[in-house]
Amino acid sequence: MAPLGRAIQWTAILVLLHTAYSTYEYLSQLKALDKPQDHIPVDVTIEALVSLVLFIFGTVLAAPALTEITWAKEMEKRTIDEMDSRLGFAGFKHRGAKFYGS
Amino acid sequence: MEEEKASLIYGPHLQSNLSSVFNIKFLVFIFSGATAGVLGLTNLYGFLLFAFSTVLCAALVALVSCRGAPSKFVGDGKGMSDKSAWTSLLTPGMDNVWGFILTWTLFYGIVHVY
Repeated sequence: MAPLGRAIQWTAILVLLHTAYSTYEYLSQLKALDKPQDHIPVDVTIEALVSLVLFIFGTVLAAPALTEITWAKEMEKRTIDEMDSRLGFAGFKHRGAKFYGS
Repeated sequence: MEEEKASLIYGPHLQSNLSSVFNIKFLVFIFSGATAGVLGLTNLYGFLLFAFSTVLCAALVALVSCRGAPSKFVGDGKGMSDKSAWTSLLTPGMDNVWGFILTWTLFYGIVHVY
C-alpha cells in the first residue's frame, strides 16, 4: 500500500514538472509572437489538475495506517490485569509456605 | 459528562493519527500551491484551488485512511463525534496556508515570469 502510494506521488510530481515545462514553452511561444499571454492550452490545465488529484491520492495511500482512538481498540492488545490490577485487593498469603517452607 | 466522553478516547492513538493527517495535509497543500502557480492562477482562483484541494484531501482521508468513519480516528479529544472529526479534517491550519502561498508564488515566478 505504501510503496504504491509513493509511486503515485512520484508520478504526480513528474506530471506536474511536465506541465510546468509545457506551460513555460507555450508562454515563450506567445511571447515570441508578441501575443498576450493570458491563457494556457486546455489539455495542460487538465494535466495539472490530474496531477493534483493523483498526488493527494498517493499521499493518502503512502501515509502510515491510522489506528482507532477508542479504548476498546487498545484493550485488544492488553489484558484487563495490565490496566487495572486492583492492587488494593491483592492478597499475598498463599500456599507457597506449605510447599516450600519447613 | 464531558470527562466521561473524553476518557473513552485513547490519547496516544489520537495524537499519532492527528500528526499523520497533518503530514498528509502539509504535503498536499505544498503540491497544490505548486499546481496553482503552474496554472498561473491569481487571487480568487488560486484560493478556489486551495478550497478544492482542502475538500478533496479531507474526503480522501476520510474515505481511505479512516475507512469512512472519521469520528473513530480523528477529532479534538473532547469526545468522538462526526462534527469534531470533520472540523479537524477540514481546517487547513495556518502553517499549511503559508506553505500553499509559498509554493504558489515560487512556481508562478518560475513558470510565468521568468
